[in-house]
Amino acid sequence: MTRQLGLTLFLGLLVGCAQPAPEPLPEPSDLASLEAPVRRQFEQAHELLERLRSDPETQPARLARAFAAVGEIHLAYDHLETARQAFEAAVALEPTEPRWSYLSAHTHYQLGENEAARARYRAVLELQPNHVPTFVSLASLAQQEGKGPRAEELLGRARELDPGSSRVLADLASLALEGDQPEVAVSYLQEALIHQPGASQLHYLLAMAYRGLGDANRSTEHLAKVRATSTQQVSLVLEDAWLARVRSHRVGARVHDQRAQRALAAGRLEVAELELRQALLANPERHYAHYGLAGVLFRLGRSEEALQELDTLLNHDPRHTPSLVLLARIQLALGQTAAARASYHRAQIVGPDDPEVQELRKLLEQRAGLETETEPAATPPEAPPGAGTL
Amino acid sequence: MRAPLPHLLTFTVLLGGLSCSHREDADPMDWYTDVTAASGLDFVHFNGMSGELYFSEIVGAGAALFDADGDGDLDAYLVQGAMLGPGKTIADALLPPHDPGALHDRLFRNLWAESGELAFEDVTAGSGLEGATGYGMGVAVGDVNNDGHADLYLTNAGPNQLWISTGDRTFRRSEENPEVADPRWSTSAAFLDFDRDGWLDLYVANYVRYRPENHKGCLDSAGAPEYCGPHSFPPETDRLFRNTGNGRFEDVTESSGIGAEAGSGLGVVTGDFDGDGWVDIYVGNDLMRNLLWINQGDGTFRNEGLMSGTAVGALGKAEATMGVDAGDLDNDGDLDLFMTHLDGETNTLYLNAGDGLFLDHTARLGLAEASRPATGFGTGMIDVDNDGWLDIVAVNGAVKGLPSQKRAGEVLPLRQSNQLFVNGGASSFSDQSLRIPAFAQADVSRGLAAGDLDNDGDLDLLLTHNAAPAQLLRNDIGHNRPWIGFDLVGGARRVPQGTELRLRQGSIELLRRGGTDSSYCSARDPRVVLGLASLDLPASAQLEVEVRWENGRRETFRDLQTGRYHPLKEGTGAAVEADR
Repeated sequence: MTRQLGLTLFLGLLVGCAQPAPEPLPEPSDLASLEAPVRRQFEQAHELLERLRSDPETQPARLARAFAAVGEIHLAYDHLETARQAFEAAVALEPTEPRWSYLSAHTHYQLGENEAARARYRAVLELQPNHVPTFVSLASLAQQEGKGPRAEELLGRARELDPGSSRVLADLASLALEGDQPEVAVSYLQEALIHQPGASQLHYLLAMAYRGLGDANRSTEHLAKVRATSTQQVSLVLEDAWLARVRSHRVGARVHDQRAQRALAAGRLEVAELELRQALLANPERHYAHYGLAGVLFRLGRSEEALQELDTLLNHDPRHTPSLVLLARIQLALGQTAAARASYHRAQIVGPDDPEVQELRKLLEQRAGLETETEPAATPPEAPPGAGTL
Repeated sequence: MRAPLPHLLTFTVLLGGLSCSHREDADPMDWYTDVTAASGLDFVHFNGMSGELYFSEIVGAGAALFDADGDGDLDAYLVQGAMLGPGKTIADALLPPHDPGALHDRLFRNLWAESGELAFEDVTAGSGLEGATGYGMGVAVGDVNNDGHADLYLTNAGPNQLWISTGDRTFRRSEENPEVADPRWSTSAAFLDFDRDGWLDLYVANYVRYRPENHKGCLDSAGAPEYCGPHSFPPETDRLFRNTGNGRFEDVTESSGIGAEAGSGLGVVTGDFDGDGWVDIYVGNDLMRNLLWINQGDGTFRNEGLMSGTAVGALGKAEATMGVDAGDLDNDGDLDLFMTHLDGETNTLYLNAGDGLFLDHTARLGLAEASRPATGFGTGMIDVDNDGWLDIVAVNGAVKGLPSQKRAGEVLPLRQSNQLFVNGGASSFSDQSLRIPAFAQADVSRGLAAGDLDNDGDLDLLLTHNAAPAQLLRNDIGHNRPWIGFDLVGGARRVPQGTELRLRQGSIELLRRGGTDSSYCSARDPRVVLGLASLDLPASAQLEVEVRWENGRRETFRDLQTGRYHPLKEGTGAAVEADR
């Protein structure tokens, strides 16, 4: 192994030294349309890279880091082709650094370039033989190619190195199920549940394993613990510091939107409000984000603030039906029946077939005879359909 | 000195010698020929995009192959879009329509029966279908009034339409069925006789609660404008309409139990998945759990998706299902399920253990690796080479802008190439897309309808592409091998649904599903073609098949010659033991 590694490094260094400076990387074609904080990230990373690339004194390792930094930004935002080019350049400049090979492999994998991914993953193991995420990724590739025994072997090695990884155990269980060995799957999954009892995926796999064993009761019991949506689910644990670093680069409205969505799913409305406000700060041009914020504020009982948000949005797009429906509902909750009727009529003109408009009509018909303009709402408002959808 | 393999690979990679090929070397013979231009099938889809990135503009549209005029060959129906968005006009279209004066669906008559040539003429004018002007998504085909003529149910991003055939290539829009004009955003639909009363009922998959009037600006991960995904809008509930007789429908969504689950439905296929003789319904949802509605035989359904193992992928995560099909891929006598998915996920193949319990065998059968880079929509389990094993066709097109096409300034940067996975028997599939040269061309493919357009015993393909011409591919391989075909006539209907046909020869049993549903927003040839190459039959072979009709009755038909289609009419075969 030592001889192989030495030779690899030597050849790698030779290649790195012999190569001319790598080609410049293209910036995103739609740079101008990106949110300001994201645009700045791209610009700064590319500027630094170009400065170093044009300086003949720059050491290959330093230049490799700059290429990889650009690659990480592109990978963070799913610009895979440029990320691949950047990581390949970094590998060529500094072949002794396993991170560049790993990130290159991951990018190739994302692009569906399995052979290239496998080659890079193997290079990682030559440099860092105990890297668990690489074993898991290679196992995933083998599994996709229908090479179950090879995948099992790789996952077995990962398990030796990280016995507490629920992801590794779940992958082993999945292979066992595919190989019609439900009892083996159960043993892996019971062990994984000790480490991560709330993981939906483990319960699903257990349900399938017990089903394979003919134990309908236990299967049903575990199915009942499977959470319905991805935002409610807990990801399986696999420590991967290099990819975590890539993800940490993500900034901008969408990051806040996703956090708000998770907060909403968990019923944490205050957190959702905070994240939605951050999203609007990151990108004030996203007028439709005011709708999501209005929905959250309404659910928090802050109807006046919700009305302000809707006002902002309807100034931009007076035909936005969901906003008109939500406006009417808030007005109704505030006892402003005439205003609610007017909002309904505006919605009805724009979206006569809209089920939400039709539901609003029914609500108005129910309430019209019960409330006057000055009566406050007797009960806290209910969220309208879609108000929690960002 | 011989270097160890890992070392050589590392060295190869360092030198930049990366191989990205996924496809096997192709046989020099092409299996399909693009005959679109030669046949005169001149249809260009219009998606009505104006730069606002309206969600619905990238989702349509489908097509149908059915015999509209009863002359014995399949005609083609193509679903059209329209201009999208409040206040938008054709002048705002980024990709102007091919024929701005005629933005409606099109019916093309196949001239094969009278001329022996695979040629089409546009017979829309005067057919009544000039009135099919909604923002079209899909089409389902079935005989709703048992008059022997195929009727059309058109799904739209907006109210759906039922068109009744008069049998002479003209249609009238059904006014007596306001119930079925579902205003939601509908995608695929399927006819089935779920209560076995002899009248075709209707299942409609609805997607999400989106209209251009509630458009919201979605972003990609870097904050650039991008098409929204299904999670941006609440999912809709599908609809089940019961045919109360003579093509009149009542909405039984709630009473049947279908209304208990909302989902972002895109694909629908029907079949008896648990082997109890009653037709069930499988629905592919986009990024939500798929639904397997098991028919309880009393007018109600129960969703057994999770327990059956078909709701989520092998690792327990909901996937983005688009198109679906059901068929017996492993020739073990039950219906398996195949579905197309978003890129980054694999397409999924669930094998039926025989009792309605399924296991994900995608990877083991070699279907995972090649499908991961593509977003699949239309699909079909089709025995393209008539070897007796069902192959898989998947047509692809992205839903998020592809960077290289965006950089090139393409207006609709979603083009991907299509795929053919050939079933090599019980053990594995191989990607043999190169056998179809037209598949090398990247398009934003959506619909796929398979049918034997030239009645030569193999299945041709009609593909639809968003904002591009439809494509007709003629099968040039299947008819060179032994085959037998069946035209199933259940009761008065010439378009039966939910029938199963079995051919037993020695230890081999071939099961095929009759009906028009499956794929994505499309309707296929209702006839059944069985490829016989692997059965090693003598040329003079006389075959026997068993048909289970949609009402559960089973009959055998004997002394059937290969190399031709046989009309099999319910009640004319020999009854098989006690009917279920």
